[in-house]
Amino acid sequence: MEALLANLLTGFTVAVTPTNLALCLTGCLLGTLVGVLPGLGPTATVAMLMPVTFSLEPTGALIMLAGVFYGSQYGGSTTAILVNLPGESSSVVTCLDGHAMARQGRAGAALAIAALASLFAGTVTTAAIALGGPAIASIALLFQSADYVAVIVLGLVAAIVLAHGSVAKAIAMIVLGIFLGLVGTDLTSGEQRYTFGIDALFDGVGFVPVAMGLFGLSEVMLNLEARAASGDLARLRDRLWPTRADVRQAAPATVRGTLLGIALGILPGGGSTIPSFAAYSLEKKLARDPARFGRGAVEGIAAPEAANNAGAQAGFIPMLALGLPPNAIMALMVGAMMIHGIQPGPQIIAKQPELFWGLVASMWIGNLMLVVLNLPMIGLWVRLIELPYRWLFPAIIVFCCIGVYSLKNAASEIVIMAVAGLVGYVLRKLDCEPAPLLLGLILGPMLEENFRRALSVSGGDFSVFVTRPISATLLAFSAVLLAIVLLPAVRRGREQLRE
Amino acid sequence: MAGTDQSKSASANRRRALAGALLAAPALLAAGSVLAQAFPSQPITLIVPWPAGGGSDIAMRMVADAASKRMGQPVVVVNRPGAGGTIGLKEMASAKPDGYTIAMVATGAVFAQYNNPNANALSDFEPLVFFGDDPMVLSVHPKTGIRTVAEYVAAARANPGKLRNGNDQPGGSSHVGASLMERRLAVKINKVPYAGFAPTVQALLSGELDSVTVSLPDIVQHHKSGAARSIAIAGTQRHFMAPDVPTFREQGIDFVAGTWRYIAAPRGTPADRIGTLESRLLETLRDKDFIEKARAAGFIVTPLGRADTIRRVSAEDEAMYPVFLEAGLVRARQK
Amino acid sequence: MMRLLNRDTAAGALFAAIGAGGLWAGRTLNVGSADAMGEGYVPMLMCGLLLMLGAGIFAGGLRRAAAPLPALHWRPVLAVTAAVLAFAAALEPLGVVAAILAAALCAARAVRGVSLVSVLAPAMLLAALVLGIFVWGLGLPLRVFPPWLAG
Repeated sequence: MEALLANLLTGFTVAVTPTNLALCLTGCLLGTLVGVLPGLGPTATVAMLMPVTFSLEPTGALIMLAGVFYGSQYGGSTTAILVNLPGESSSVVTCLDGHAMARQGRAGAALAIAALASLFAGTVTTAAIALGGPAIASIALLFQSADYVAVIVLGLVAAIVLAHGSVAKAIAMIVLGIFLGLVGTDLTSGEQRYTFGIDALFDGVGFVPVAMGLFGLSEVMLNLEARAASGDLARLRDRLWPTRADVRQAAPATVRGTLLGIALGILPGGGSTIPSFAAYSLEKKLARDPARFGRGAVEGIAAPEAANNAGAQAGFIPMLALGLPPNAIMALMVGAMMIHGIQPGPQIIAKQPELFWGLVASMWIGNLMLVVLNLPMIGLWVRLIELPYRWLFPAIIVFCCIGVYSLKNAASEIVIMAVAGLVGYVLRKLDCEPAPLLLGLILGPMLEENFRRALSVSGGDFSVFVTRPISATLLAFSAVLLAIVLLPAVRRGREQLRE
Repeated sequence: MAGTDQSKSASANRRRALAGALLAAPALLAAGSVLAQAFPSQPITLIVPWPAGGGSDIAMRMVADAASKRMGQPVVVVNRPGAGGTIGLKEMASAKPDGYTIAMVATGAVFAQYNNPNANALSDFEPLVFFGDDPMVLSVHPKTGIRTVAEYVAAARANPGKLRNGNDQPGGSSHVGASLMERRLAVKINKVPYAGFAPTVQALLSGELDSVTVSLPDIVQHHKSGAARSIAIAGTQRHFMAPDVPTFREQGIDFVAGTWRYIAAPRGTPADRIGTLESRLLETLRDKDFIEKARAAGFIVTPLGRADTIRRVSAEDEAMYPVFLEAGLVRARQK
Repeated sequence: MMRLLNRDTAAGALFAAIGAGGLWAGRTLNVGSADAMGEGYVPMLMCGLLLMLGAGIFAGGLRRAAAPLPALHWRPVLAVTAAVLAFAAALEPLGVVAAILAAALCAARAVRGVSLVSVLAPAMLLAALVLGIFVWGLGLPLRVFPPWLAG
C-alpha cells in the first residue's frame, strides 16, 4: 500500500509538470473535437500526431496521445445523444436511450450522466491499472480461439436482449449484420466474397459508414418526414441537469458497467464495443421495469458509457503490461513508445516507473479535465440542437460525409453510407432495430475467424467449445440468457411493449 | 485524377483557400508563378496504401518528416488503405506523372498483381529508393522444446502438417514467408491465419500455436522474457534488437524472407524528376540521425538507389511466384 | 382480417430475399468441412439462417395481424440520399466547397417550399465552418476548390 502511494506520488509529480498538464489538455481537447465530429476517429488523429511526438519527451508524448484517445470517447457520446450519430462503435448503445432523452428535452441531463459515468469508470479503471495491471493482463493469455467464440456469442446474445420488439427480427438483424461482415477478402483462403469486383469492398464493409447511415442518415430522414407530417418537431424546453432520481438510478448501473467494462476490455478485439452492449443488456435484465429502456432510461446511458470508457482504458493494461495491443490505437501507442526506444512489456513498470505511473496519473487528471471541460459545454450543445432543423440537417449530412471520407480518403465510403441510410430507413419503418445489425457487423468477422480457427485446431471436433472451461462457462451463461429471452412469458411481456 | 491533387497538402489548401476566399486573381497568379520554379515547387504527396498507425505508416511518416527538409517542400503522408494496398497504389499509378505523387510499395504488391485483377503490375511503378527489410523470425512456444531450426525440421517431419504455425492471410508477407520456409525446409506445417501480428503472438503465448512467423519487433520482448523462443531470423544478418538469435544461414539454410518497402513514382515520370527524388530520398535515408531514429522504432534501414531497388524487387518476384502458383492463388495475370 | 402486407410479412420477405440472394451469389464459394472450412462455410450458414428466419417472420405476420405498413415519405428520403451522393461525386473532382453547395441544394428539396436561393447563404457559412475545422484546424487532406480555379 505504501509502495503504491509512493508510486502514485511519483506519477503525479510527473503528470502535473506544466508541460505535461498542457499536453494532457491539448490531447483531451483534440480528442473531444474528433469525437464530436462524426466519423473522425482517434486512430487517424493519433497517427497524424505521431510526427509531432518525435520531438517530445516520451512520457509527454504518451500523455497527449492517451488524452486524444479518451477525449474521443467522451466526444463520441455527445453526437450520439444529440443527433443519434454514433461516431464510434462504442457509442451505438448510447444512441438508444441517450437520443430518446434528447427527444424528450432532456439532452442536458443525458450528457451530464454520460460524462459523470465516464469519469467514474475512468477513475476506477485507472486504479485497476495501478493496482493489478500485470495480474489482470495475464488473464487475456488464458483465452484461445474457442473462448473468443464464446465471448462473441455472449455479446451477440446481449444484442438480442437489448432490442425491444420482436426477438425473431432482432436475431435476423444480427445474422444480417454477420453476413455483411463477411463481405470482402476471406482471411483464411484469400478468396473474395460478395465483392462483385468492386475494389472498395475488398476489405469488407466498414463499420463507421454503415453505423452513420443506419443511425444518423435514417434519423435525418425520419425527422424530416415527421416535420412534413406535423409542421415542426415538437420540442420540449430542456432542463439542463439530471434530477436526484436520475442520479440514484444511474449510480449502481455505473458501477456494474465499469466492472463489466474492465473485465471485457482487456481481451483483444473486445475494446469498448462488447462491454457497452453487454452492460446495457445487463441493466435491462436487472431493471424492475424493462419497458423504460429505449425510451430514455438513465441506466441505459450510464451503464454503457461507464462500460465503454472502462473498456477503452482497460485496453492499456495488456498494452503496457504485455506489450500486446488489443486494438489499432493501442498498436499506435506501442509504435509511439518504440520510436523513443521504449519496449512495452512486463519490464516497463520496473524499468520506466516515471513513464508508467506518470501515464496512470495523467489518465486520471485527463478524465477530470474532460468533465470540467464538458459540463459547461452542455448548455452550448443543447442550444445548438434548438437551432431550426432545416438549418441543422444539411450540416449533419455534410459533417457525416467528411468524417466518413476521412477514414480512408475514399469517396466510395460516402456511397456506402448513403446506401446504409436508405436501408436503415426501410428497416426502421419495418420495426427492425439497427443496433443488433451493427453488433453483428463488428463481431461477424471475429466470430468466423475464431470459429474456423478453433475447429481447425481441434480437427473439426465441436466439443472443443464445451471442454474448455472458459468457453463452456460463457456459453452456458449465454444459453441461460437466451432462454430467459425466449421464455414465452417474457416474450408476451415484450409483445405488450409494442404499440 | 484525384491523386495529383492530393498533393495540395493542408498548407497548400490553406494558402489557396485563403487567397481564393479574399480574391481569386492573386491565387491564380501565385499558382502560375509556382509552376515556373524548379522541381519540387509544391508539396509532394506520399501515399501510404495502409491504414494510419501500422508499421508502414509509422515508417513513412518518419521518412516524410525527414525528407521535407531535404526537398525544401513538405512531404505529406496520405493514407489510402484498402484491398491489401492495391487501392492506394492504383491511385499513385494513375496520378499525373509529375513527381508530386509518390507512394510506398511493400511485399504485398508482388502478390496482388497475380491475385487481384484490379491491381497494378509492378511494372506500373518507377522505383525511387529502397527503404529496408523487416526480416521474419521463426519463434516457438517453449513447451515444444525446440531450440534450433534442425529440431524444428525434425518435429515437423515427425508429425507432417500437425505443427501449428501462426501467420497472416494467404498472400500476406508472413504467410508467404511461412510458405517459402516450408519449401526451403521441405516440411509440411499447418499455417493458421490471424488478423495481425499482435493476435498471432498472443495465440502463441496462450499455447494455441507451436510456432509463429512474424517480424522481430512484434515478438522480441517475449523472446527476452522467455515466454516465447525465437530460434532463427530470416535476414542476411542478425537483428540488432535480438543479437542472440542466429540467422537461418548460420544454421546452414539459405533462407531470407520478411517485409520490405520501397518508394515509387508513377510510370512516365520525367527522368530528371525521378533523379531529383531518388537523390533527395537517398540522402534522407542515409542520414545517421534518421537511421538511429528508425532503429529505435524497430526498423532496419538499408537504403538502395533506383537501379539496386529494381534488381532486388524483381528477384523477390521470381522467388515468390512459384509459391503463389502452388497455392492456387495466381488468378489475375500469369507470369 | 388478415392482411398479406404488413410490417412482419414485409420484413420477413426482405430477410428471406437477402438470404436467398446470398446463397445464390455465393454458390461458387468453397464450403469445405468443419475441420477445414472453406470461405463459403459461414456465409452459407448465415444465409440459410437468414432465409429460415425470414420465412418464419413472414409466416408469423400472416398468422396474426401485425402492424400495417407505415406510410413512406419518399421526398426527404430521396433528397437526403441525393445530397450524400452529390457530395461524394463532387468532392474529389471539384473540391469540398462545391461539394457542400451541391449537397445543400439537394438537401433543400427535402422540405417543401424552400427556395434554392435561400440555402446559398447558410451553405457558404457551413463551407466556412468546414474549412475552419477540418482543413485548417485538423489538416485533413481535402481539396478545397476545383483544380482549374486554383491552378
